[in-house]
Amino acid sequence: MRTSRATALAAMAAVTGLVLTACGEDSGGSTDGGSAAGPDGPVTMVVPFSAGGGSDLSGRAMASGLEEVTDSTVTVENITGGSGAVGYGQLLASAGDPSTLLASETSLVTLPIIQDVPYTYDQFTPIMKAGEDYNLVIAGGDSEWETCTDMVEAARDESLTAAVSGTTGPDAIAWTLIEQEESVELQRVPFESTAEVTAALLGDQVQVAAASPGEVIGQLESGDVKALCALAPERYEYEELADIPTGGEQGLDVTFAQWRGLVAAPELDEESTRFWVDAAEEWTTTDSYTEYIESNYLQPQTLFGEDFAEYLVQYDADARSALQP
Amino acid sequence: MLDNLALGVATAVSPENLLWCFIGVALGTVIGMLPGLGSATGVALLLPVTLALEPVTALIMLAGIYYGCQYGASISSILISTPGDSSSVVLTLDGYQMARNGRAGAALAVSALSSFIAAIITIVGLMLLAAPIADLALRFGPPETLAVILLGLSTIVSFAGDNLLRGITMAAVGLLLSTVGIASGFTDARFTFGSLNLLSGLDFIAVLIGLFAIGEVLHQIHRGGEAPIRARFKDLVITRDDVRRMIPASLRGTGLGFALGVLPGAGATLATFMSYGLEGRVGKHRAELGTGAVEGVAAPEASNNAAANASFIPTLSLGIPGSGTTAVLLGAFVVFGLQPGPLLFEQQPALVWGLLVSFVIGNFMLLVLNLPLAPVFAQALRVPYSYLYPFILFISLLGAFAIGNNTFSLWVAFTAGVLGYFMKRFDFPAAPLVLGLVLGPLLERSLVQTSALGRGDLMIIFERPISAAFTVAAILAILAPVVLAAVRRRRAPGRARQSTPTA
Amino acid sequence: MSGGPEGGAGADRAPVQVTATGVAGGGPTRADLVGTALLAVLGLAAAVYGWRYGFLVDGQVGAGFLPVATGGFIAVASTAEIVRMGLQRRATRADDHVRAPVGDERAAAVPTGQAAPDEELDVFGRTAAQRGRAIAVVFGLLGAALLLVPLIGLLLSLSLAVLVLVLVVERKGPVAAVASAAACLAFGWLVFVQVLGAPLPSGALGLV
Repeated sequence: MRTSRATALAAMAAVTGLVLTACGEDSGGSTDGGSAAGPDGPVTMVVPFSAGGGSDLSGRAMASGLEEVTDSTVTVENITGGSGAVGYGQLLASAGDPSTLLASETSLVTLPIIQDVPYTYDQFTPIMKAGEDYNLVIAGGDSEWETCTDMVEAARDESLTAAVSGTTGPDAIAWTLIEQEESVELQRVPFESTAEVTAALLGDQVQVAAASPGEVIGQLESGDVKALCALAPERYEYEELADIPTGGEQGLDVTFAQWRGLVAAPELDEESTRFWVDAAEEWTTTDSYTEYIESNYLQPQTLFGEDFAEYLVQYDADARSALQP
Repeated sequence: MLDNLALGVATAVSPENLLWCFIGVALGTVIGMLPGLGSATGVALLLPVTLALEPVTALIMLAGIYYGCQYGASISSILISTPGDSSSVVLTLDGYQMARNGRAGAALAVSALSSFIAAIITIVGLMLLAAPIADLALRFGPPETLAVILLGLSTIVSFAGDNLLRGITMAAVGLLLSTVGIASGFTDARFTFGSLNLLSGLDFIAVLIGLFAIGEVLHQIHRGGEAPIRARFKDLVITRDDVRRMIPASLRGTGLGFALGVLPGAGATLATFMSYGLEGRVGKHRAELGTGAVEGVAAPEASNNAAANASFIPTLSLGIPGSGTTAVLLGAFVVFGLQPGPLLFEQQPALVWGLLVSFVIGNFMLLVLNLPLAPVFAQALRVPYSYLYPFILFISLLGAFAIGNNTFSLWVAFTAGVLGYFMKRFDFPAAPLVLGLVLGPLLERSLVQTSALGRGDLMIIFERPISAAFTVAAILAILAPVVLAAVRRRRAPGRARQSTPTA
Repeated sequence: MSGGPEGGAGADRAPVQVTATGVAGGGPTRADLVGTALLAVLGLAAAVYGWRYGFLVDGQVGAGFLPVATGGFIAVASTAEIVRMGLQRRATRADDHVRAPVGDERAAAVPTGQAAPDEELDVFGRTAAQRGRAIAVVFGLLGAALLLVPLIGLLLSLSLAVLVLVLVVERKGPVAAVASAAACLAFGWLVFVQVLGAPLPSGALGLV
């Protein structure tokens, strides 16, 4: 622990170091056996949210996974502020630096759509989409509805209360897509987090909500919450989730994925990009990757480098249509 | 129940678990003492260290950090008026005054003892009543939360000093400052003036480091500083009279803290302010509040610990975090492959009961650590202020940075420090401002939610019995002293200003 | 060099118990007026600016609701306060009970109801006027230290601030100053960097 933290500081020194020094080091050549373009010295994994949250957990999983496959030290730094924007700003400032990575997710694309931040998703170098997460439409355990169809039908007659965790989160986007598809209107009640949304469902304060399976699996298993449908193209394979029908099966043609992944600094040269893409690809074949995916109930739908970049373009278009109707 | 308890004891008293429990509470105490590093940060920072341990051992240690922090935060609040977290702000009022009166040791001992009393009572409550209380807490929807926050804000009356209107105004300033940035209910970024850093708002911990720690240092320099305290040993130890005064106050604080801590998100800070306010109403020595009254330390301290323990109720029995720190702990559950949720008590009895029993053990360790150390810590005040205050400034700014590893927090703390100095000097109370700043986001969220549930009608707060009762209580709490003061003023026009101490 | 009689004159005095309330005991001061006026302006500005965020949106609480409500309250309450103080001040004046405004350093430092023969020198061995300067210097120093962070890093610049504080403001001599700064640096490095692993900025020079 101690040594890796001491080196974390050295990493900071390297990242923010004088341009001259940095250039000097670059010409020094790599210490990593396989690839010539790997970073010299320790690597920083920026997590733009505070420690302990979902982004932090996935950042730490990726950091230790990459540490394993590249033999370099990857230290997690939680740089918070600006709903994530400050952390992305830090990455923006280390353009061209192969030793700074960022544990990214959906808000990379959505925040610049809603807020005036000094970056857009396409400025960064996409490395890996590690996994996807589809929202489940959930209701209280004693709800009268069994399927999403029931819920949509009810929404035609009365104004339903739907909890959202933040006004621009993936669940809010999912509701917008449902509203557009089914021409209904829901009364949204904004909460701070999925945990609060779940509490509100359990206490019958609201009628429906949408959440990632990993965040409500405990309540699903106990029956305090029931899943009406999964807003996914196909059913989950996890045993606990396999019984949940997709929206498509019920005639609700809405899917919206939340992704988690890895981006690197802007203007990264081809070699370094290749290095990280290879490393990431290698990580996805290890046990530590499988464990990360399974403990968070993610879908192991991976994309790398250019493919990931193309995915983001489409994702941006989808998010824009939901967030700027 | 007894089987479970036996299982818990068997789990918790293994030498390894005892050791890690001790490490947890000791580290927690140190982290709590450092400004800016609250229990949530402490748990998150040390989570990776525990990955090699058994899940139950790791959780015992992490929980130890949580309640160890509560004890530690009190120490720096009392000794140097530097609250480590918003829930120890109230302690800077009477605790710091006790220290200035030469009774730092006694203040620390009162704080440790009342924490212990609260902890033990609430842990028993946690063991016996977790499930029914958790169900009750779920009945608290947005209107109820809104009403409780209004009631909490009404306790400003106790912190406003001699000018109630100014106190309420400062609370409004706190509420206003809390609206900076993106709120969860809206997409607009408010009052950010194009600043990226302001998008997530003013970090209230940075603000309170500035207002209290830095502001107090500058104010001390302005006043010419305090003489280093040369307390006699008998002043450093707790007296029989202290204990007699402490117990009823701690019990009241415990009850209030336990009740408020169960509410998801309502939190320990609200509990500390409200219990201090309660002492101002019902305490036998309420006239002494603000000048270093034992009750002013015991009640908020007890309520803080009670709320921290109560936040485990929704965490363990529903899988829904009851506070920021328990949210991080829930993350730790997932890392260890445990599934937090309503079934946890059934599926993992050894873990849950071991953890609960370790709370008792950990709090006992903290008491044993803190009581004899209280006079020793109090010796820190013998350091000449010329050396002490540069250190306070140093550690405060480092702490401000460490909140989010963001240099912007340094400037927030610095600016708040300048502001805090002028506020102290010219008698604009800071405690209501902090209360407003901390409660602001909660208040606004529950306003938005209530308005959404009522389809625009906020008056549904009066349609639900619980929220109606709390709202009426809040209105009475604000109006009663105003009316009484007006009556009194009319009777004795010459004595309009009383010598109520200020925050 | 020395000048700080911690063990001497200062220690004989009981800890000074001045609350600002005590000072302001008689009536509103200029500081009360200025502070309240500033609040009124702040409240008004926030209410006007906040209106643009939407007080009510579709009949429901909007993003501007809380800013307008609190800002409006601050503006109204502060204006009322100013009027009240104006009346009270006139009354106090008429009472022939004119007090020095708190803005004056000396008046502010005199504990109420306590004769202050040793007012001139405090426990730091400074006069009130020197203390006023000391505060300005501390403000300036902290600000300068923060400005230096991007260059020499957080730990170094804060330690440097401690050094200057002890040396220049407290006039404790170079040995004490260096020792204090070194102690702070060591403590900060040990606790924040080593134990807690906080990524403290090391500045462009990348020293610590």
